[in-house]
Amino acid sequence: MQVDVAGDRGADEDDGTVVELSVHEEGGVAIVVVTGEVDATTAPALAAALDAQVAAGATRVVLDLAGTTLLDSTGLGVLVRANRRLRSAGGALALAGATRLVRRVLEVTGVERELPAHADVDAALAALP
Amino acid sequence: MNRSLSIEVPASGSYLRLVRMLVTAFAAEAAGVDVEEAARVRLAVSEACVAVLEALPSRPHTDAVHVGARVEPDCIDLEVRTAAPSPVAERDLAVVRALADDVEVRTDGADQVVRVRLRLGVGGRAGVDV
Repeated sequence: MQVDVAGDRGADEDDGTVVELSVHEEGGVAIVVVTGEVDATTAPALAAALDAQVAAGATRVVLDLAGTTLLDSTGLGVLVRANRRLRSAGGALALAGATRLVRRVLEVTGVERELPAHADVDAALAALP
Repeated sequence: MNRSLSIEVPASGSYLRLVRMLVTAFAAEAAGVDVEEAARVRLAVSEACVAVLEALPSRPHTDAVHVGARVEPDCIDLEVRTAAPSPVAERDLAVVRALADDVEVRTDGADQVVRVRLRLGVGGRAGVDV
């Protein structure tokens, strides 16, 4: 699955917010790769991608944030809600490869307590229930 | 030398990326911030804008958001303001408070204002190396 989301100015122009989401599967776990910026305009697309995984029956999801250059509080809210939904289904969301700034935001907002940042996808996979 | 930046955009999330780009480019040009500091400036101005946008009544509205940035010898001051009837909510400021060295929220006439001070070269009060 590949979803490109842009702001009002469209995906062809450089100045609209763009995030690219791709999903693949590894050993029964959905890996969602988030490339670009997650802000108020693109967070709904991330929420939709995670919702689609839940709707498809996934309970364990890894979010690969290595290429995520910005994650704002709107994006944080999406992660927290997705994690709670997956946990109530017996699974979890695990974060992989977050940049230092994203890790710092997770830490200072306390989100890290329920959503720790793992170094890479392998570490995130190992941490899933 | 250009040490301050003033921009005005429509009060819409669609302009967040443009604001981030302009403010980050200004910070790099005027203060010579490194990549790590630029990322902090970029997220701080974006979060301040979102907090101010949240204070606006639900759409449709045609308000503008003013964003200012000023480079001082050891810091960058950001100011985001818009005419909104209700003050900026504290819950919308958690991330920007975590990133910044000082955050001031006030009502100035008809405007709701968020001022953010980021000290340069120290990585903010929580430190960059986490």
